[in-house]
Amino acid sequence: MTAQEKVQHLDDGYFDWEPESGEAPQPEPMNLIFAKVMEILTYVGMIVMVVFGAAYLFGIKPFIHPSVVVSNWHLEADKFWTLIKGHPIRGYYFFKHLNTMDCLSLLGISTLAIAPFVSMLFSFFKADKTYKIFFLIVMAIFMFAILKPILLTNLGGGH
Amino acid sequence: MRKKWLKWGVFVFLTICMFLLWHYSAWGAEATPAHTSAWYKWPLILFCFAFIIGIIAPMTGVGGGVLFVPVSTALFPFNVDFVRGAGLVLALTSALSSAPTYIKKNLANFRITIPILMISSLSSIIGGILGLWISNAFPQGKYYITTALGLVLFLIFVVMVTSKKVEFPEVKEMDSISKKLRLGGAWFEPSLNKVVRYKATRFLWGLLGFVGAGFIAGMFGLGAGWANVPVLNLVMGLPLKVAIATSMVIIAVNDAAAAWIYLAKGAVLPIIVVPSVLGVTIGARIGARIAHKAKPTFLKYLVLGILLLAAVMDVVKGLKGLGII
Repeated sequence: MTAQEKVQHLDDGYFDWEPESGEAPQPEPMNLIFAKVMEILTYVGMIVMVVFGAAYLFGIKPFIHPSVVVSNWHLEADKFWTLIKGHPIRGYYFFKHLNTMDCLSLLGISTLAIAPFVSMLFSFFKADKTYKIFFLIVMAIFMFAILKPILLTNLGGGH
Repeated sequence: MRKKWLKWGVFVFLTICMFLLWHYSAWGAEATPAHTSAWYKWPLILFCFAFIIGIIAPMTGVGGGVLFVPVSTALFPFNVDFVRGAGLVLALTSALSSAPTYIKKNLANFRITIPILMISSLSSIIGGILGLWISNAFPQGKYYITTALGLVLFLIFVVMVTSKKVEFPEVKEMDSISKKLRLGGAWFEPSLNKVVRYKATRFLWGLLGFVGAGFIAGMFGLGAGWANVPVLNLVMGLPLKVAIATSMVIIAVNDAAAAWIYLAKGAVLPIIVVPSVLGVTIGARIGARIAHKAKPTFLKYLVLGILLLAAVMDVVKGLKGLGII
């Protein structure tokens, strides 16, 4: 069976909606805007993470000195932070210490972690009614992941 | 027949060799505080380690996180919490780097991704919360996680050995939900010089698969491409290229949501993450260039061997920690 024949069955009984252009079908606007926003935020996040992370590894203005991290990183996260800062971490401590290189590097990682949410937010306005509802549900789940440590103290909030 | 025996012989040999290496090396010993004065060697070690993973991963179609997490857990002295945090960021950066390109080429499609994400992102967050809770709430929690990780690796190994990928699966009839949501699309395939159209089926079965895949991704910090692609390809009937692209978008959103759980718990350490991400990114670029020169069968067996070995090492390390062996 040739490659052409292999895909022949895919041409049968296709949807009534056809790609408008002939050879290369264009992505829907909600897909396109998602990709563009995600691309920009990924570049920004990667640059911030790597540049400040490298500065941290050269020992420039750390929140926790790398030697302290290395000597305690065998501990669980809660014990690690209790030993170093006196209490387990429950929230986004690094936002309060953006004058240090490791916290700035974590800001870059947060930018990467928020990229899909922001991209969905932009795509939302280009989506049809059904997909607007889907977007809202996914964004609500995402918001829960972000806000949970701040709002639900007993399940990991506080400090 | 002879080839098959050879294949399994390589697995067994690799497993025994690496187990002995691990058993008699200082790395395999119970994690102890590292020498403070020699901290600067770690970013270098991590970079080299991630660099090698970065080269191997794209040549075999395995995500970097799938190799990084189990091997780091088995070999390095840092806690499994920080390994999972780093693995998640690793999988996230890889997915974020490739997802926009796939979407622009019309290979990944939100019509299919968003309904799946409603379920998989939730299970990924629950996995992240539960994983960190187990390792921190129980005195021997990290050993439970390490043992479970080893068992999951066995599962990944079995999936990789047994699943057969279909380049263009035939979908005779769409299910009612897929039809209503218009789960399909089209892209221009340069190798065929034509537009290939596709449509999805068995939506609810696919969704069930993503509950498990999302949970494992969040709990162990693994990218879930090994599970996503077979579900999209074999269950939902999407062409292989579309399945890989769609899986990348799913990983990007799921891992981003789970990453917040690890960030808020202080389980993401730049000293581990930054050299690892750099190593994998640079390694992956080189790996992609030499992929066509390498022998894929040998590499596939190598990766399978590493996975099996890491599975054995993680299970042994976990059971040892629990005092069972």
